[in-house]
Amino acid sequence: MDLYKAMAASAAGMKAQGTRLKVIAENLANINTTAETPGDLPYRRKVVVFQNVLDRQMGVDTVRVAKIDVDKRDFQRRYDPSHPSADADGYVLLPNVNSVVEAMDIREAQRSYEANLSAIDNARQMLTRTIDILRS
Amino acid sequence: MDLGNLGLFKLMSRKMGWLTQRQEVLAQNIANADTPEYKSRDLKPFTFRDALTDNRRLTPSATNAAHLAGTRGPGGIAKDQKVRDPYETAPDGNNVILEDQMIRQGQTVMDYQTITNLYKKQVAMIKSAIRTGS
Repeated sequence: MDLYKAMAASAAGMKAQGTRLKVIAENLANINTTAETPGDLPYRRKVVVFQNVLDRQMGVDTVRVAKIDVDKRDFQRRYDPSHPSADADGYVLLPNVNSVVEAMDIREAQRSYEANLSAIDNARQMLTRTIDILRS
Repeated sequence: MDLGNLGLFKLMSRKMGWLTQRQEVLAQNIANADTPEYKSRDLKPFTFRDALTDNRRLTPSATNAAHLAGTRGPGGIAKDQKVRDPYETAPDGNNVILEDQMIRQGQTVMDYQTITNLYKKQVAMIKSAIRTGS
């Protein structure tokens, strides 16, 4: 039945957004993770890449997380000679995570998740209506 | 008596099929709201002409258990199309607007409710006709 296909597509969307949320949480958790020794690199920000895939069995365009890549932007530097991972000049490399960017991203993921949820709700309502015909 | 052969019932079930398919397409749009390069789609509007002509696609009959059913079943009543005049396109090429999709979904659900209510009313009418006859 087609309504189940609609629900499957929405569920795939929710799953993808959930993965995105998880990655953002990882980024935020590691916002202060520096390297342990000089010369090592700190935590690198991760980004999810969404991909549109055709579910051949169901015949619907679902979405999935194609890969979790790393953000190639430069690390931030902070002057802190007392830090164990400080280089010869006294600079420490900090992760390339920006809390404002992450907050915005988390918001967007949440909105998309909610939209998928209400899409499922709509499909469910239609399905209930169909079953209601039997009751009359 | 087969209710499916009655004109009105046939019409209603076709419209319900169209609405179901539309819901499916819209759900796909929402699921892909953050996929780069994804273009939102919608069904061609249900017209009176569609309602009267049976333009359902033919499905090959499977004579062997090993035959594949195919991805598009007989449910494919209406053709979907890319939305031509998107309101806004994101820099990554995605033109799904959640608000717009929500409105479309709301319409679909409302229409579906109308049709199912109509269906029920029609059945009730036939029932009462039978009852007065006895």
